[in-house]
Amino acid sequence: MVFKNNSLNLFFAFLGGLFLLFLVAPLLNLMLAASPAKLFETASDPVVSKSIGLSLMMAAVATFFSAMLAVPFAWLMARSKFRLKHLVSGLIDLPMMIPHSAAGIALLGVVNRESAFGKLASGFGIDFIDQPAGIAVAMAFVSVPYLFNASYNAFANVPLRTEHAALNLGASPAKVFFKISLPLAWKGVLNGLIMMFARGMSEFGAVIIIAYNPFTTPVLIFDRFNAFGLKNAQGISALFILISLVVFIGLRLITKPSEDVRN
Amino acid sequence: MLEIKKLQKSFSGFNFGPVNLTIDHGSHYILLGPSGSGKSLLLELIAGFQKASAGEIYLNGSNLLQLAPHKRGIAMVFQRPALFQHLSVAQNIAFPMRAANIRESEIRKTTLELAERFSIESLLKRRPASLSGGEAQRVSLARALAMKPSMILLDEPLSSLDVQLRTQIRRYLISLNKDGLTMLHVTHDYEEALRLSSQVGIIQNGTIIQSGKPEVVFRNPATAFVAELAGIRNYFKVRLENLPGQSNKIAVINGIAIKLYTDSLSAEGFILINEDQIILSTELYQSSAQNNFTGKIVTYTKKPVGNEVEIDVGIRIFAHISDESLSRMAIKTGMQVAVTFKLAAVRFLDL
Repeated sequence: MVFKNNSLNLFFAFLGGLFLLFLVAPLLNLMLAASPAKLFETASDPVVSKSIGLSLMMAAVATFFSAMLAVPFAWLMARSKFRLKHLVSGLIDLPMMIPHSAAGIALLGVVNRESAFGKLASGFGIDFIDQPAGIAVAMAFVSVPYLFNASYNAFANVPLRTEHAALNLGASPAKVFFKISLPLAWKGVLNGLIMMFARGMSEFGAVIIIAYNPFTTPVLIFDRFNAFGLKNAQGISALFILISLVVFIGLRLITKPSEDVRN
Repeated sequence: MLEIKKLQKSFSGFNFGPVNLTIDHGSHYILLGPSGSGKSLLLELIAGFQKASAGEIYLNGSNLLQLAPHKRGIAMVFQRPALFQHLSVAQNIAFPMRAANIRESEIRKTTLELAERFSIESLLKRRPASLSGGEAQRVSLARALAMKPSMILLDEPLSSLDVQLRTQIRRYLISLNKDGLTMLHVTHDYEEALRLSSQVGIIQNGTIIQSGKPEVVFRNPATAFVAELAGIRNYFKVRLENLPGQSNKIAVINGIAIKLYTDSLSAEGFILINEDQIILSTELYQSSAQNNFTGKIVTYTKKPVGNEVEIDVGIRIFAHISDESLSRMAIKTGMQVAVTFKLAAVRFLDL
């Protein structure tokens, strides 16, 4: 049934307009405040370009290593039935739910130089505090649930029958995963990778606790704002939003959101 | 030869087995049962998608339960073909050969041969999503054969197809079986069992309650359940002959000619005669019915409704009559009766 121009629809459309305005107005204001010349000038600032490079690089590192752990586990979870499955799912969602600064504090407790893990990593020459590795760990911690959930849904959408057919045709379980399950779930997994990357590169709360320096762009925006005020932080914010937009549009072009079949 | 010994699988609320079953090399064994009877589960146990709780399965002497599912060498064809949507038809057919690390030149040759056999040459570059149901099922048969299986498991491969396509796929199954491929085929469709099986089994609540040659199982159902599932008992494998100048045809069995009407172009098949449409009388009389025979009553059995009377008119025919007719005609074993039925009581199933 199609309702046209009834008063309820008009009212809801008005509410929707306000809602969209709320989302778009601050961003639009920011973009208008930053002229192309200013954007170019900001991009040429070596501190800014270095921070952008670091943010993108560490988000990529975090996404890559997380994928190694989370994607196969998402497949295993999608194919398993056990009593505490909902509990495990809830645990994986936890980093999305808690304040990211609190997540950073929690992480700091584990990776600081005095902790057992910190000492062990130090033994291998890996330090986290105020180091790129710490940035990557903080980004991964708060953004990996996006990758896990998208991958889980994608694998759950691959019919079990299809995997059975591949096994039956003589493919080993590893071949079935790499030749059948992963390619069939690839769109969803890719969606998760891009979401995790986008979320990771924008992370502020957890990153600033583990590594104030070297600056990632979100931390640099905060630093510039603190030290020089709104005007100074606007250019770099606008530039970073533009980069985020490119990533986001890329995501939307490549994939469609997959349905949540977890429950 | 496939030998299943005391195979069991327990779930909460459903116990499968113990199942004992032997399928001879080259036979087309049809396991007939309603949904939920455990027939698909049996295939999954054989293929290794489910773990058996107890029992043994031997294929040509090797214990299948000790082999991983991908090493069992048994192909399975599903009701809805589980084609790999991200691969082309040719890549689907090549999949089992690539899994077995066969040389690419050999893979190309076999793919083309199979494509020709199943008339899917023109589809090789297409994606499965663009195929019709019949095309997809042909691809899935070709893909199953590409692994050169020791036997093939068929899980209702015809039931999601319309009537015309069923005939086509059925012919492929018959020709594969003629080439010596052993088949275990599960279905709920009695007519499929009639048309295709060389051996038939009936499964109910996870247990095979009767097994043997179709004519034995269907004509002598061991339980009421088998009788109900087996449907019509008057069925005969026939060759049709045309009657000159008439649209009717005749089916000759043991020198007995049964007239029927069919528009099927096929000469070989089965005829089914509905027990309820057969009239018994003490002597032959003139009527519009074109099938009239005389014979002796072999047995008669009380049924939940009415009675089943077996008459030997040169072939054994079963008729269903009421208690009242039984007593009015004073039906006795050995009694001479006339058997009458119309053309319309005879249905032809082509192969």
